[in-house]
Amino acid sequence: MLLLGIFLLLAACAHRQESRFVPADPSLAPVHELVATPFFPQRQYQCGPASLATLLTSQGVAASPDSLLALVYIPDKQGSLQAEMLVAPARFGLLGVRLPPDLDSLLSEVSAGRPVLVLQDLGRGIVPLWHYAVAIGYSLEKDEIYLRSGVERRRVYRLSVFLESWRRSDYWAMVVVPPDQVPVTARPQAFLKAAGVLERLSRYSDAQVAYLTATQRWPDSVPAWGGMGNTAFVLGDYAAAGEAYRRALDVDPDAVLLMNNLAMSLHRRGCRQTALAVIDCARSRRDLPLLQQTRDEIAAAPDELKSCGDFSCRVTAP
Amino acid sequence: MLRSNFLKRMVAIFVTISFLGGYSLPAWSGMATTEQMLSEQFRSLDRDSLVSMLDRQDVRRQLIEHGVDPAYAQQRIAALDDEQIQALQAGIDELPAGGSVVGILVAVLLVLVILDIVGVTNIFSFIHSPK
Repeated sequence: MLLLGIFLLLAACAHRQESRFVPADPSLAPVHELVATPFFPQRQYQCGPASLATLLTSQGVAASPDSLLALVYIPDKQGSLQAEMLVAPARFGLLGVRLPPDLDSLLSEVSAGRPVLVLQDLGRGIVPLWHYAVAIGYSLEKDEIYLRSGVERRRVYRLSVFLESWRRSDYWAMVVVPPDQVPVTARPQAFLKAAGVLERLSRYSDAQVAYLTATQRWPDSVPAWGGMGNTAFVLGDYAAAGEAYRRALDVDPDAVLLMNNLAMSLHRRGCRQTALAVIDCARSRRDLPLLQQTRDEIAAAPDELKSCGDFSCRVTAP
Repeated sequence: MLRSNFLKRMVAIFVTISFLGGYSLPAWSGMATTEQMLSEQFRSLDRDSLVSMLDRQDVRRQLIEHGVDPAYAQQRIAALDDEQIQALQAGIDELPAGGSVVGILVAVLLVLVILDIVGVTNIFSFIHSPK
């Protein structure tokens, strides 16, 4: 055991000659630590539930590692899958957002007050030993990063050593936020995927808040407006849904899926003529079974002389 | 041919319905989902939605085989998107599952013992490798 310890120490020393990390953002605080972050020492192989409980509790949700076993733990694998870690916060009405795979993003989130869940490989390249931990602080001056990890409340890593263990998971990291907050470094795709989980779990009101937040942060995001429209549609507000779809079509006039849904929202309001104009516009661009099915459904509806505004099918260059 | 295809479909539909209590398809009948808009490709649209549902059942079965309580397996797959389902369907065993810390020491020790036995290293004095 002593020899093993020496071996590990030697392996750790081998990485220490690298140069210091210089953050891309020069205004990043050189030292920051979220000392109030809760700690759940892991039992056995349950670092996934323990790390997730740390993030959820930081967001004010009372979730114990034991209560999360049923959501993210796979007994025979003695571990948790990344996909399930990302979607689990939606059960509590929160968003699990994947971060861009780099240290700058991780440190920016920590300095913005959010603990960051990371996947490390502690096997040093010999055997894969996947481990979840939570980054809660760093010191660029000391070249250190601090994690709630396993049974250690404050594990100190040299940045280069941490990076090496993190690199093997392709720098996988996530944060948990309420639906009305966007993580400072999040990309639209990652945020919208998180919102999509709420939608899949039929938490439409929570999902709508997330999509609204996304449209405010990224006003030109077509899927953000699409999600806004879809949640309004499911909640029965067809006028608001149509408004959101039109906003998306202003950005991308060729988005046939949005035209399909706009046509459906008009159809539900009894606007047969306008709905037909929209769906025919979509069909002129692309031949999809969904579009034909929608057209058949609208065409079968009784003709109503209801005015629902115009729809101009923009001609695009071939 | 037509008949066997029809039968296959009926069996698939029956299996699907019997497993998928509460799958929220009816609300989306005729609608493109946000997930499809986000993927910005039409693969998921062109793909038979039944195939996607059968993939889900396969992942559910894999979870149960790996010791997940069947009562929770259904809920767990419901939260995943098609892309995640396909990654899991390809084989849960191939994916990294973060969990071990206690296991690390045991595993590294095992590797060193094996290296010692085959004579690559000579760390443990009690292991005599063949000369």
